[in-house]
Amino acid sequence: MSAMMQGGNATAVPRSAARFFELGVATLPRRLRRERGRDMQELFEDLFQEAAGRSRLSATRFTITATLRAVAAGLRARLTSGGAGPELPRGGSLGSGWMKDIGYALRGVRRDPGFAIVVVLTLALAIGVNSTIFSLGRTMIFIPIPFADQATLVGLRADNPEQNLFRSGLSAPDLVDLADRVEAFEGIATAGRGLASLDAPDGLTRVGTLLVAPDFFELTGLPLLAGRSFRPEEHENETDVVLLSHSSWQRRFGGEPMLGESISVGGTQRIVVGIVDPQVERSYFGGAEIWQPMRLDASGDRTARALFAFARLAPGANLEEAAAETVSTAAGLAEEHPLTNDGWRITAISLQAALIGTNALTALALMGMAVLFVLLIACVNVANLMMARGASRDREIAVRMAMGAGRARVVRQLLIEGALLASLAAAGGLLIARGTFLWLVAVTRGRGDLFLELKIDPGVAAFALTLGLATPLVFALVPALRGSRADLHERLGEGSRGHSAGRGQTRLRGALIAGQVALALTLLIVSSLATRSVIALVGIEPGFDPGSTLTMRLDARGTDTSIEDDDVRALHREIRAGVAGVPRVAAAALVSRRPFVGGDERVTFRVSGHPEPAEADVPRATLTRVTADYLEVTRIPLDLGRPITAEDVDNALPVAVVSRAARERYWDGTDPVGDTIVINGGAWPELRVVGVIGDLRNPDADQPSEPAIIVSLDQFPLAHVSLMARTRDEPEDARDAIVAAVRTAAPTMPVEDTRTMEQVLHDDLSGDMAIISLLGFFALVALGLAVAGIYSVIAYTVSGRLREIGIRLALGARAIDVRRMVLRQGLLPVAIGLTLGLAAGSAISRLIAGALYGVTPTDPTTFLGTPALFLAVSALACLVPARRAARVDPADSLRDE
Amino acid sequence: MSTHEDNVASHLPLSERDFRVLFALLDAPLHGYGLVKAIREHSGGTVSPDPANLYRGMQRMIDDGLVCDGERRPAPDSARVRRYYEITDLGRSVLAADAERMQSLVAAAEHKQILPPSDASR
Repeated sequence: MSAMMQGGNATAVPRSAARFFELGVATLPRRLRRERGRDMQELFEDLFQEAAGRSRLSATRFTITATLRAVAAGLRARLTSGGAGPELPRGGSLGSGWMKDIGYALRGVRRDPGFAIVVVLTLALAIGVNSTIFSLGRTMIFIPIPFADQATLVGLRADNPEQNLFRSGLSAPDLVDLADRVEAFEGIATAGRGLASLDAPDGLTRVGTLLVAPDFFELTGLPLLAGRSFRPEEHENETDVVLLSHSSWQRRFGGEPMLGESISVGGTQRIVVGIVDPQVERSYFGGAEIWQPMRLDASGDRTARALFAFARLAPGANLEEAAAETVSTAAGLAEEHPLTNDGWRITAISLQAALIGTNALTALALMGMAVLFVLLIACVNVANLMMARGASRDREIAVRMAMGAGRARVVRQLLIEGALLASLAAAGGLLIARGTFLWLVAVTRGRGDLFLELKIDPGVAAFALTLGLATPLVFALVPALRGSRADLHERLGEGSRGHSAGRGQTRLRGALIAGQVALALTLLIVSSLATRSVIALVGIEPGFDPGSTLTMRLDARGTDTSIEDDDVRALHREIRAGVAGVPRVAAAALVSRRPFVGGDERVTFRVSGHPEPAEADVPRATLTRVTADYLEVTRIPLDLGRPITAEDVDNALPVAVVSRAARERYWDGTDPVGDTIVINGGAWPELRVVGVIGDLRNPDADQPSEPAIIVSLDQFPLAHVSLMARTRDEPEDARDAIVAAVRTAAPTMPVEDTRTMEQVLHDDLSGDMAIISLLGFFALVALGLAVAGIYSVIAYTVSGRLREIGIRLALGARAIDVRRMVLRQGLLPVAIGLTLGLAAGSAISRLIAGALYGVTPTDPTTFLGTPALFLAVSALACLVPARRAARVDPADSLRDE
Repeated sequence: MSTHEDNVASHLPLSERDFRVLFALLDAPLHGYGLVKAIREHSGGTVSPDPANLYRGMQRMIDDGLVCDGERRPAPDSARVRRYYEITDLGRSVLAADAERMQSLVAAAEHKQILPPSDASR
């Protein structure tokens, strides 16, 4: 009696634990399972209860060890019984069983190709894009620059929030002072970028240079391939010695030994004393072909903020201390030199932060988020699909087991099917990664050196593959877990009653759908905002006609810095005449800067006769120097007066043309023609305003057009200018003739950067475009996957409830009630997901507000449109199965099977 | 009888677990859980078979005729129906033979003074 009581009080063994153990038992030989399986299961239950009496933890531990030991026993039994033991299916060895199962799996794929295609494509896509984007991220973040001891090297950054200047360069005197005063620094390695013409065996070209201050190599530890770095006296005297980059040495000089030989840089003979290690130029210093010594002038101009610097921390100092000390030292400098340093904040930042742009990081973070979302959604989808399919295969599995297939065999079968899908997905994923990678390299060609370093990272690919492979494998086992719940007879019976999922499983599916929807909506919102920004950017009229225009940069002093302004004028006149004489050329002009490339010359000016303005209201404008025919080439409209013409030569009256924005702002829209203006407080001669022309769009698209002053290049000569030639047909066709005309006029002058004006404009946006189109692509993939997920789950649920729906209809429910029920069930998790997605989307869009243009982070179109679109597509996905449910014939569904 | 002795010898030596299973069954038929508890008790808790390996060994001993399937009946301690296992005559003979084998080993070890001389009753 007491025994009965005891037994009744014992806690029941959880089904999950029993099922888990049964998975282990399933690996044992069939005969052992048949004869002792039940006893094992019972002993497991007895021991489980004993363990559960101690604690839940020990019960769990017992379950796991008992199962693992069963698996080990199964393996041992198979190994010891060899290939022909009585425990194996008759008529076949283990090997032939595998082959049979693989054949069976292949037949399964052929029988239901839709399912296989969906699973494989979904996972392949996710694996592919994740591998690519995270490889890109690793490439960007772990820049392989061979700095010595990177842990104690930091970057320096200067900002002036008042002037909206961030990550500016630094000036030589500031750097000298910082190196002297900041005790946390052992020293500051300083360098500046420049350009010089290089006369090499392959021709005269303009190349990037790097000017390095004393101790640069000692402090950074950057290696040389050959030769030596610069000596202190070479810095002090800025001696004519150079280092060559490895690629320049190889490409331009054929890799011949050339230490001690002299080459012509900027028209001066300089001795090559060393070759920089190729690892250095592969990354951050990639653009510099020539390295030259530079002196740091402590008494130089503090506004010349053109240098970048890395600081080596003193022993024992850390980044935080160094940053604090730098900030306070820079504040001291601002007090000592208020005219030049007021508002400037200098701090120390980590090397990583110094080497990667903030924009790049934002873009990378966005992309990373996007592809991770896609991967998660894909895995959820595949899990849902496999579960649904697994459940619907209960019957098939029950039949196979009833016909004598062992459980191990069935598990193996399911695993092989999962593995087959997974390996197809993995192969597809790697193909997609390769494709995305090639595409990225193509669209980013010529935009920095980062992308040249891009390769698929094995670790990242392994991560994405593991996730992608594990999902189908794990969820392939669902039917086996379900299958072991009841005996065959019961399951065959259950099969005929349909396969409505349990409450817990339904809730799990709902949660998965909601999560999927939230992720996909977040992505849609972000990409929609980004796309609208780019459309706004592209839609802006640049203010001139960039079509049919070829441009190139010229430097009259490229080989000879000593030539006089008069020679420059003469050279420019000859070039212009020569190019204008080319039959394909309609008009040609020289300009100090091509429109839209940024970095314009800026001046302050005063209009004679206007009242003296307050300090803050002094008129400011960009200054562009042009030759005649500037308006013909650019097709900028002339509003008033006349443009700069060929008569505006050196000894004629100095003239200026002002832009519409200048007229509006500084003449209140009145006619400025005939007024005189004084530039930069009288540093230049007075200029007579002779005309007004249209505005150019501000290259910084957020800002209105800047007031502009256009002067005659002949009156204010500049050696480094750009040629713009409007051609009668395709500008590319005229390229050779134009370059030849320039060469005839100026045989030794370096010509570089020959591009059509449209290329100049396009390159400005191509990076953004690439990122936006990728983001948009990912968002659409996410939307598609989420909707497919909703559809498959609802369709599956409905097909499992046909009998129940039949009964409802038989009992008098109307078709519309059934439709409503299915729709409600499908759309409830969608609605929850949309709410979460809206919250996440608005949080993220606030974070990226700075990167948006022409659209607010709370853009109503986006925040109403995307959820509405989502809801509509989801409703469609639910409607198809809902209609099917409503069309159920009660008699059929009850009689079925 | 020589065939019987040959048969006994073919099962020697027993693994520790098999030895302990047969040993536990000497007094009375036991079901799985009872067997585990008896083995734990005799081994001072050092041996505690898991279900899969216990029954894998059990199946082999049944095939070898050392143990036989008993009836399924309610276990006195849990009121659940469990299968009871019994030791066969062959099982008893094999157990005794294995004990003798080990005794001779112990004697040899004592002789070489690897073990201190003692009565091996433990």
